[in-house]
Amino acid sequence: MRQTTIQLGEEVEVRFVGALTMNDQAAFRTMLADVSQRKPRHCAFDLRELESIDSAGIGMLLIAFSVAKNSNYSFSVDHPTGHVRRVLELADLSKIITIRM
Amino acid sequence: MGWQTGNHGAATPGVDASPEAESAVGALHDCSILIVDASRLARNQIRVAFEKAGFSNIDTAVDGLQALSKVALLCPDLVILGLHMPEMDGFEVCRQLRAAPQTARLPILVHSSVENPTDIVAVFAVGASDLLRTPVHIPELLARTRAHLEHWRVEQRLVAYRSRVARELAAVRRLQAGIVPSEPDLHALAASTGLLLRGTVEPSSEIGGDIWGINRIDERRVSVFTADIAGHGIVSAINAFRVHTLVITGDFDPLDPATALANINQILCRTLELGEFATFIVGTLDLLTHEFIYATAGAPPPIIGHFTKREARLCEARGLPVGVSAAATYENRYTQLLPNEFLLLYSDALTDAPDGAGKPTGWDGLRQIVADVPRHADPAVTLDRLWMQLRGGIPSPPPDDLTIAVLGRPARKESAS
Repeated sequence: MRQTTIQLGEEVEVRFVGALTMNDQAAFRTMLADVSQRKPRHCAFDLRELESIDSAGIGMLLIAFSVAKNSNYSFSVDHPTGHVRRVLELADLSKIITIRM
Repeated sequence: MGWQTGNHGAATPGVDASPEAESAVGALHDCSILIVDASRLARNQIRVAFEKAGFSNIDTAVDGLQALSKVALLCPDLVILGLHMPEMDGFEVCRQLRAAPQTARLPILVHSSVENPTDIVAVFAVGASDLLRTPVHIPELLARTRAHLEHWRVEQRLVAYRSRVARELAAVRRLQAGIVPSEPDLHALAASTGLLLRGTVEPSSEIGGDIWGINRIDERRVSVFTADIAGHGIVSAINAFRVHTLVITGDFDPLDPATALANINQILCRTLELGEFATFIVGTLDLLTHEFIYATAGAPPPIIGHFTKREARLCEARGLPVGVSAAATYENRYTQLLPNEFLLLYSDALTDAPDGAGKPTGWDGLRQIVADVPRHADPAVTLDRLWMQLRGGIPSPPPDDLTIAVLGRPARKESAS
């Protein structure tokens, strides 16, 4: 997993590149802890450059959503494309997580 | 060889027993030590030094051959090994001990007067754990002995722990194998239904979180499910057992798989931890009407292929994985599985597998693979080819828990009039 965290005022954006899979769980937890420490008003995961995601990746998005909820900031998944978008649709994640195209 | 005369005890060439040395190894007194040296005086003096320090399990050997014999018999925790001995020298003893699996890691402390760097290298080259230069200083002997024994004990505990864990994982794996259809189960069901059936669950490690099942409900209906519990290893395996219990004990209407998923979801939302969930498909095939009613919870779309035509289609699939939200609802979906068609259910390990370009195969890629499998007049052969194509592209063990299940409906043969 390659990701870049950008803070713009009270908004934090994390841009993912490549794949989000079971091998990325440790790095994901570290990134999430960093986001929470910034105490944003909103956190967006930008997935436009994410090419693949497995079930572990779905689990990570759900954890990020829960952490945001418990930390009182809003959370969205932005611009999923291609196969990643289809996986999120298959899992009906928009019923839980705000997905912005 | 020379031994340093110490401040305490009898004249002990190379032995210096101080109070500090005597207390240095207090916690390891029950370890067994084998002292190997051609010199009786050296053997006795080292033995006395260890006994004064509290060690009670000491044995000796006078030459290399006796050393190997005693190691095999006594299984010591540490060997103090002289080099120059009759019958077999210390170098050869070391080589042989290192060559045997049971003594490959045994601490061997060589004591010698070697000074030449080449000789010192030779001592370690044959596998010695440490080198005590003579005249030996007792505090140093005891300190090094303690260090090696502590390390040895930790290592032995780790080996024992790993061995126990491996046995327990193997037992769990056998239990897991018992909750998915076996080859005899599938043969019996195939014989009674006329279906062609294949199925496998392969964990990515010793145990995994994938399960599947198939069951004949009545004369005309067969129900099937696959579940992929997120994650790997012990937690996923435990949750897989939970899910299996829910499926087989739940009083679900086979014609309403959406409600079955909703009920399973409610239970799992109460029992699973954050980040734990399962993707699911459950469905019922009516052999008379050819209808397949199913519901999915995050599972990849089923694929229906044809036994004689090179075609395959993706079925609809959409639903929140179970265990995520108690408010989730699911939808019954309908398709047909006609004679001469087969239904492929699978976990995402199949579609995450890389294609020729190194990208994930994906559902469209998998559908194309299914469509492209060369057909044979015998549908069982076509199924074998499909199986080889699907399974062949994934290493063993697979990088992710893998489930593949195929239900085939060979066309009825026309009876001669």
